[in-house]
Amino acid sequence: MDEIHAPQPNTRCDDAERLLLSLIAEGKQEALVALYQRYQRPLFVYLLRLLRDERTAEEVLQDVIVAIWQGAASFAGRSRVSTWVFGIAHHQAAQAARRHQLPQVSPEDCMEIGDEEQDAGRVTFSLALQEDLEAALASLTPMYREALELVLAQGFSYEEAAIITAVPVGTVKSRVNQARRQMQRMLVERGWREGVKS
Amino acid sequence: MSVEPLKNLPDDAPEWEALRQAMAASNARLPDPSPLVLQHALARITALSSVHAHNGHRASMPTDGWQAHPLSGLLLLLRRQLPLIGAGIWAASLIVLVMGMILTYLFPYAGGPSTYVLALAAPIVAAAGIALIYGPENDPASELEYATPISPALILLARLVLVYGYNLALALATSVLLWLLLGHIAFWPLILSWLAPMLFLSALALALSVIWNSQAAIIAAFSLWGVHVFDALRSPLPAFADFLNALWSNQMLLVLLALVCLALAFLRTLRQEQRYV
Repeated sequence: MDEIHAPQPNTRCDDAERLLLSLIAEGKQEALVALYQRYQRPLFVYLLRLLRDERTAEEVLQDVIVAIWQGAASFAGRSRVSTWVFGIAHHQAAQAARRHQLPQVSPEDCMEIGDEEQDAGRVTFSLALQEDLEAALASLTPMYREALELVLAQGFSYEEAAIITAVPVGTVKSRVNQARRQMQRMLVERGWREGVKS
Repeated sequence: MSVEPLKNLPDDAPEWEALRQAMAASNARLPDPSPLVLQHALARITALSSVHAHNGHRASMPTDGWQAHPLSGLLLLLRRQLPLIGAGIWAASLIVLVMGMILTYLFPYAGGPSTYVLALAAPIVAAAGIALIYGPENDPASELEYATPISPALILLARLVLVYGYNLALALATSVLLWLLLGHIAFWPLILSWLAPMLFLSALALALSVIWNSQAAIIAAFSLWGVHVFDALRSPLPAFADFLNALWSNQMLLVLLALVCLALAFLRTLRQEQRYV
């Protein structure tokens, strides 16, 4: 999965968000509210996937809004606004995970499993029951869930996901592949193979 | 924020697309955040603004228990910064210093430790590494760092400790090896021949990279050290050579200048931080 997706930056959208950030940097709270309205849903989903606790996710979302307010003037436009915002969210989520002693978002001590591990078997994700998919997703460690969420669900490129999570690009690729393998294995364990549940 | 459809799909594209759609469907069922989130955040911002108005400085955000556990916090910061430092910095120092040791072993000049290839290489390779540890041109995530509660000055310090410590350890290890291999050279003069120059050149490179940019820092460090190396090996002007020799062998002066450069670098970083509030 070298080039699974290369989302083209939505220039018009990003320009509008850059304008909002510059207004936030000038101290305009209305601009912060407008930016929040654009991001509240994707950010909350991302935080929920990571932290798996609604209350903590809301608490971190608050921290993210405050951090955007404080850091808006530092945004120099070298990345997309979305990359910058999600990078802040990643950082705040990692801090909250440590504060609340939740499973770590970026566990330095956690051994990453190599890409060479054998495939668990072909599983047609579209045919698996949503309930089983949810269970497979939930079985992933936070860093794998995060990689899948950023790259597949939120549409970030590997490079952007690497910036957000402060790890090398190769690590993001490895995590995404590994996450899919683990999900496949989990679905096989739940009786799914070749699109059929035994 | 809009999500673009997947493009440039590989052979197993349908599976990835199916997984993406499954995740999208799963995400769609997750709840929305409470409207109170925004209200509470705005209340905090208003409170922070009034603190700024009173104190004139950035109000501190929760800093991950740093006050309670500063040592573990610092260790964690060092570990976090490690993967963000370019791999080339580590490799370049290792190659140059090992080559320097081998060349010194094969061709030890009679001019004393200060003319050994190792002593000439150690300061400049450390300075070049230090020049590349900070700034947007070397760190794509630098914008994020300004928006996090960890001070950019602290991040700078962590990277400085990592890269300088690595170069110092390498230079020490190669010097010890050289001392053991050659046998006839004095240990402390060998160490002192590169120690203070390495500190000064690294501090100068850091200050210039923070104040201007990495290129300016590297050019300045290489020029300054280049003149010294050229002069040490083949001086056309004996008086100038004596002056440079006196300068580079004055350990106290070099340490003092290094401290000034370090202070300048950190003051500049703290100023940048205040600008971002």
